[in-house]
Amino acid sequence: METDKERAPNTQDWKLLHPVLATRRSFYYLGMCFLAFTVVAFFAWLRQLRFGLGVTGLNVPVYWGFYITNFVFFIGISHAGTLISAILRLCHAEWRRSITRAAEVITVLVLFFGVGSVIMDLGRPDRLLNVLRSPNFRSPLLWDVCSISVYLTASTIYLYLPLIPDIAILRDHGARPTFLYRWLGLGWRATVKQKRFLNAAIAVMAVLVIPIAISVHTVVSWVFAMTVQPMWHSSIFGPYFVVGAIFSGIASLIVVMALIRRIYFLQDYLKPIHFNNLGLLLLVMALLWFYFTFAEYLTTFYGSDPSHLVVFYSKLSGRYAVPFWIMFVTCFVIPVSLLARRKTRTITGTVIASVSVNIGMWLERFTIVVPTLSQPRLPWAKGHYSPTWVEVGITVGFGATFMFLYMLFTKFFPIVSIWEVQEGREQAVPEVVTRVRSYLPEETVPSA
Amino acid sequence: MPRWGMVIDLAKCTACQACVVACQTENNVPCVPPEQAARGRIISWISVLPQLEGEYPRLTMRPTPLPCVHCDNPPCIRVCPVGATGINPEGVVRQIFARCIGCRYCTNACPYTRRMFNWYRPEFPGEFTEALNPDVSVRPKGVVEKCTLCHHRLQKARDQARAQNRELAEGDYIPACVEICPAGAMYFGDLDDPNSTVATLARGRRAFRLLEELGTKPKVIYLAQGEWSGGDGQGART
Amino acid sequence: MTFEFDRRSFLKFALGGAAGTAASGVSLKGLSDLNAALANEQVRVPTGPESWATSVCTLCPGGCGLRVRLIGQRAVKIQGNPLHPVNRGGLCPKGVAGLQELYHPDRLHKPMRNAGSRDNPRWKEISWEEALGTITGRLRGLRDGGEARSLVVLDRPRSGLLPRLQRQFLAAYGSPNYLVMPTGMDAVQAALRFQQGITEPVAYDLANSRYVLSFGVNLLEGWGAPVAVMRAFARWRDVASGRRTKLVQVEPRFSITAARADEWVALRPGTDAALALGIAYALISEGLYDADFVREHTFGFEDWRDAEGEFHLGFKSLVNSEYRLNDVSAITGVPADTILRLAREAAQNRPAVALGDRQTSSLPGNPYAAMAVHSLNALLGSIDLPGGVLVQQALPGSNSDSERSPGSPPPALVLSAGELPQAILSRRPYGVQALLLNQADPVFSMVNGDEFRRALREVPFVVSLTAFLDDSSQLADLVLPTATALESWQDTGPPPAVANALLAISPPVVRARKDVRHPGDALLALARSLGDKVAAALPFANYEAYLRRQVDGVFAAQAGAVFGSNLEETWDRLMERSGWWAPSYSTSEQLWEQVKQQGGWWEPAYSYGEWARVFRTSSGRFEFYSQALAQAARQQARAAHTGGSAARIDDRACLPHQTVLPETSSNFPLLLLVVEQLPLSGGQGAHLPYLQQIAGEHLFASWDSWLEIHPETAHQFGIEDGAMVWVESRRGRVQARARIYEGARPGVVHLPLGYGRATGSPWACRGANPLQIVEQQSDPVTGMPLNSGTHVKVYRA
Ligand SMILES: Nc1nc2c(c(=O)[nH]1)N[C@H]1C(S)=C(S)[C@@H](COP(=O)(O)OP(=O)(O)OC[C@H]3O[C@@H](n4cnc5c(=O)[nH]c(N)nc54)[C@H](O)[C@@H]3O)O[C@H]1N2
Ligand SMILES: Nc1nc2c(c(=O)[nH]1)N[C@H]1C(S)=C(S)[C@@H](COP(=O)(O)OP(=O)(O)OC[C@H]3O[C@@H](n4cnc5c(=O)[nH]c(N)nc54)[C@H](O)[C@@H]3O)O[C@H]1N2
Ligand code: SF4
Ligand code: SF4
Ligand code: SF4
Ligand code: SF4
Ligand code: SF4
Ligand SMILES: [Mo]
Repeated sequence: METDKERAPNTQDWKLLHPVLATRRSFYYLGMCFLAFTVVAFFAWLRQLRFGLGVTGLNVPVYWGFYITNFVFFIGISHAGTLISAILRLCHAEWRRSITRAAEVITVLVLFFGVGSVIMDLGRPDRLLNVLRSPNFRSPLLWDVCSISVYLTASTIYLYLPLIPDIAILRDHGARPTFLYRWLGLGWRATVKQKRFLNAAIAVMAVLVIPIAISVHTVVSWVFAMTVQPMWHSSIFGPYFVVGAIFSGIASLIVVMALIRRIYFLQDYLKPIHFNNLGLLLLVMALLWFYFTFAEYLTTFYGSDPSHLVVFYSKLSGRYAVPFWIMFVTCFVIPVSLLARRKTRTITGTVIASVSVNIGMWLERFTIVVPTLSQPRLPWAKGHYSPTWVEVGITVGFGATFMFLYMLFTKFFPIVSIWEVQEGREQAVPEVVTRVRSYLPEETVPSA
Repeated sequence: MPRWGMVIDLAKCTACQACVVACQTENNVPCVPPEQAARGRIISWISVLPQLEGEYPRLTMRPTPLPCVHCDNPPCIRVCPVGATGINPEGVVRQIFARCIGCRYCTNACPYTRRMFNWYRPEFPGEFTEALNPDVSVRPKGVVEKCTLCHHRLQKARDQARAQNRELAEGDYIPACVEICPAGAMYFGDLDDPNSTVATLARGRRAFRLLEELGTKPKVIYLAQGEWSGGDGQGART
Repeated sequence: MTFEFDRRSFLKFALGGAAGTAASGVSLKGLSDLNAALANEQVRVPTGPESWATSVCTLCPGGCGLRVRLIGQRAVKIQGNPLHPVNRGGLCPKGVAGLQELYHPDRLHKPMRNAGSRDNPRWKEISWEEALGTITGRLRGLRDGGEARSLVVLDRPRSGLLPRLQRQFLAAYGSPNYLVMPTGMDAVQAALRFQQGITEPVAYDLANSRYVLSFGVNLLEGWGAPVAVMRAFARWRDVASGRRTKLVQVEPRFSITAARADEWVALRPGTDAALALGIAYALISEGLYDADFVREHTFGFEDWRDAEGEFHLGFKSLVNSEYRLNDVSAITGVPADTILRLAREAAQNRPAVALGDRQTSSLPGNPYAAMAVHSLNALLGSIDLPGGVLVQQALPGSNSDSERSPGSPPPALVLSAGELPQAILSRRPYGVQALLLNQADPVFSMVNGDEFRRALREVPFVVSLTAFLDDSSQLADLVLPTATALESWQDTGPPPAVANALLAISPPVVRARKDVRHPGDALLALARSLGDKVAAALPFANYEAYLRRQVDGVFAAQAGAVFGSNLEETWDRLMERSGWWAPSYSTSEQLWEQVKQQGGWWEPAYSYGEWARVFRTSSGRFEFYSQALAQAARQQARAAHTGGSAARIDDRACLPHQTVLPETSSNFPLLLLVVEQLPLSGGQGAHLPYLQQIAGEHLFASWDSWLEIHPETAHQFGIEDGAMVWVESRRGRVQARARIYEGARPGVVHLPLGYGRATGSPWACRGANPLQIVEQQSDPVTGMPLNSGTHVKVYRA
């Protein structure tokens, strides 16, 4: 039997419960602010439902625009959480402990917006169920439906499992609504058996979630790559998209971490070292991203298939040159120059790099989706796409709503995993010592 | 079983676009208002693409009437998540308007840009509704539509042939665009019947298909322009 | 009240919102309900029993035969009549879009009286009785006052029997003034008048030509009988026929016709005459011309002396001295070897035919250029033989007496519609008291539309018969709504450029949708109520009865055949050639019934080489040197040197020649040439959405005027593709969207005709009417109209 004391957080970790238990006025104002954008998006969507997709800037032949860009972007971000946290967990990266939760929440929440973006894009959202009623398994979109549902389920479980001990803490504290915590707490008593079971489950999920996550963005890329359209029909799109996804995912995570660190005064938990480490990861991803992008464009250029080249040049020097080169600067030049040097790999530096990467990655999705469509193989009327307020409104609204929901989450659950931090402090340190020791040659006892 | 196909003789086509309007009136294709047209949202199941090349005064234009080419291996139908489009045993790539969720994946997968989307509810101002063809439904907003090879005409032709107790003969079933063409530049029929006009023409030396290299196997076949080969002014040739 | 939050109420609010969202939208059932509630999307497609009817298209002078599909009482589809010899089942896009004309929301539905002023019309709907009563009263007044001749009828160009009816009406009433809107064939028609001495419409046997040299004739974009021309074009390229006719398109702009031609010769605008004469030079100097034909059937080829022994320049000397290849090349910008090659090709691929000068009634063609082109036909021996230039056969039974007023007719006011406003404004030779516009809109479609506007204000009584309100009817006292083709009896005759006599007649296909009438019915009702001679001359209850009577004339001619399939007609033609005539009818009544059913009657055979019919000049030959022109010039000269001896005339004024082109000014550095697009040709069609959508296919332009401009020129003037620009001439300026077009000649810009109505259907009142800035020019020597374009400048709006 453990004592209550054992279950209670360390006094120094009380801080982590604070956002859940007390709310500052500014929170509401910020929340209302975000909700205002939600309302705009909702209104825009009602308009779209009433009149049809004509209210967007889409046309012939640019049939996809902001919504599908958002879809790819949001699904990409979702790799922040589950995938990164799983990899870090499996690698026993101890610095992960205070950031995994923040990451996993991103995944689960943002997936809804990814899926939501597709629904926004449908001409007949009311017929969505047709996807289940008469599925066509040859369609990459259906593969998406499958992989995203699995990913959503797995990520939710993966978010929930490590949450249980913390919910129990809240429950025992009598946080309200009590029914919620009692219900979600699942009678967690932190018994040894429970703990062992939980750790095993988390480990299994961590292993499972990685291939699922990779499959998700691979399949998203295949939505494009499976067509024969110029500069979509590419075999490296799978890994290219996954790399991009992780890239933007890490960047989002850094931004979110910086925000909660500031807002909830978690400087002790989210330390420069976390930003430094994630910054290094981001740097690696930036280089990888560059490698893939380079490979992708070089092969296109070298192959010189005329229909591909039209799209190629429209990005490099034509109508889409501005977004393309901004993308290049924000995805590569800025992050690499900031992150490569220790001096600039500060919290501010990584945050700037991350914001830049997020902008860049959104633009990357845009410059993948739109230029190809606007230069069809047959000399059709050249479509010029520019979004209307409806698309902008829904896009911004999605972003705002995401942040609102994220805020809401922090009001119900500790955003830094209390028990894991505790566990780290109590068990991991000796464990690490043992582990590190195990890497080294046996300490030989000099023979007498 | 027939495999319906079309042959378009580019040497004869005058780029008049009667086929375009004939298709629109036959298939209840709405006219989008001018602001929408300016945004590139005109719906036409068949369009005449100008294909202009060169510089003044050495220019070529190959106006190409382009309906859905009814690929035998259509990239558009594979990608549809709900199976709202498919190819029937006679090779017609059809669209189930009532099932389409409007994702526009097919429109993007079609290398010929031959699928059209209803951005708005179709409007038929004033009494234009009176001219609607009862054999063809009016598509609601939010779904994709495309050339059906005037499939309703096949059904009528079949019914008629059956009523007269005979087989469907060549010329019984002719799509609206082919029927109207003032230059007689379009031919229609069974590509699998080696004696049909279309099959004969499709075997000819001038025959080619658009974007053949993509392996889509179109069933709309073009006959190349060809050139004048008369006296060249340098003296008679024999 | 302060706004106090606590966590609970906030949560309630947030959750409530979320739940609401879920209930209204996110749940799928909710979503479809929402969707259904927000937007009703049912479009009812009416149904009923199916039937088919025959009719004719009257949207252009082409007069194609139609088959109309009916569902119940509604016409739902227009197809071509496969039996009609002009179109054989094909139609142009305008004809196909005809249903939108029938069901057009902006049609006039009742006669209207202008209760306001000319400047500020206020339309009051009245009954037909009242309208016709008003007209009768006015016309009676005029006739009783001895001013019958001051009634003018201005008709749109059309074939068929309605012109005959109008002439008969006017003749019986006592006015000679039946005018037709210029048709653009005017230049060629003038050439025919000057060189062949005939006024019958020119025709071509294009289907059998082997070499076609078109001087800016927009063969595939609405010239002549559009569908008949397209069918001929397809014949030229029919592989099965084993040979291909070459089409050479000579024009400055890369038009659709140029694009579809076998060769496009880009020449400097307005230099067609020089080019034609250059080709003539090559034909003559290489000895390639048809010497037999020239010897037997032409006049003025060699230098000659007249009765007074005076020396006159011949065509050959003119060409040899002034149109040598290098000179012509310098004028036209066409390489000399191209000119030589064209001449050789034409000579070696006969029958070869030369068409032109280019035609648009809006910009009168240049008669000298037309004469130059037509001279090529004479050199190539292509007149009145298969594959050549023919003269349209007259419809049998045209009793020209009844179209003439008894006794000596009063002098006609003017010779052509273009001169009408001057005559009205100057009241010379006499004033116009009443003007009847029969589906003509001169204010919109004439270059001197402004003048027409002023003139119409001066006419005390203006009546406009039209289906849609238009710019001219704004200035009328009465507007009478006319029926569209499918709603009334219709008839068409041989369309422009088609040689065979033809009469297509069709009964109404649908009940009139509005209180509208056919102009023929209106005119016959007027005749009845005018009584007296007019009623006696036109004793017909309605237009149907009138048509029925005309068929008697056709029957009496004992020739031709009812429309049939190709096969039957080949047979008929063979029989007829061998002196047989085997009609499918034996009474006029039978003919009438068959015409109604099959669509019409025609004369499939053309008798070639009737020189007396086709050359009615004073020499009885084709005249390179037009003696008619010489006589006119002599008269003019005599008038100038009052009473003096026969002044010497310039031989060149009687021979085809290149006229001097107006100078460019630095203020207006660009040349504007207006063009017709098939969907909006003849100025018609802009009110039909289906046609608006396809109007500028080569540039994906629709619904608005565009200005075609060469990329270099655009660059030079800082104009981007898609920018709104002003196009300004000395006369004024209009706005259009600049479109970069490789097919526009550097330094030359083009505006499409058909846009920019000021009144009428909102769909038609879009874009700009280029005629508002087009300047009418005339040859400084002869005063003859020119079509060399208007100088403009273009700048960003
Ligand atoms: N469907 C339909 N068809 C119609 C009609 C209709 O209402 N409906 N209307 C009919 C009537 S009334 C008419 S008049 C005809 C129109 O008759 P068209 O002959 O088709 O008249 P445009 O299109 O004005 O011809 C202008 C052409 O001449 C060229 N051009 C301009 N300047 C020069 C020059 O200096 N030299 C040469 N060689 N070429 C030049 C231009 O590039 C342009 O291509 O259409 C007829 N057809
Ligand atoms: N701006 C401009 N001017 C032009 C031209 C152009 O394209 N644009 N084209 C030039 C040429 S080539 C020509 S021949 C003349 C033609 O000039 P017009 O003969 O004046 O022809 P429109 O002005 O087209 O039509 C005259 C009126 O008759 C009515 N109408 C015409 N056809 C029908 C019909 O079939 N049924 C009914 N119910 N009503 C009808 C129309 O409502 C219109 O108001 O214009 C010349 N001028
Ligand atoms: S109708 Fe015939 S001639 Fe006209 S554009 Fe179509 S295919 Fe060409
Ligand atoms: S042309 Fe396009 S729409 Fe038609 S079958 Fe082929 S891929 Fe499908
Ligand atoms: S738009 Fe309709 S037909 Fe096309 S892929 Fe989507 S559901 Fe299928
Ligand atoms: S076949 Fe029928 S549906 Fe297809 S383009 Fe032609 S008319 Fe339209
Ligand atoms: S060519 Fe003239 S008559 Fe024939 S369908 Fe076209 S508009 Fe009608
Ligand atoms: Mo005309």
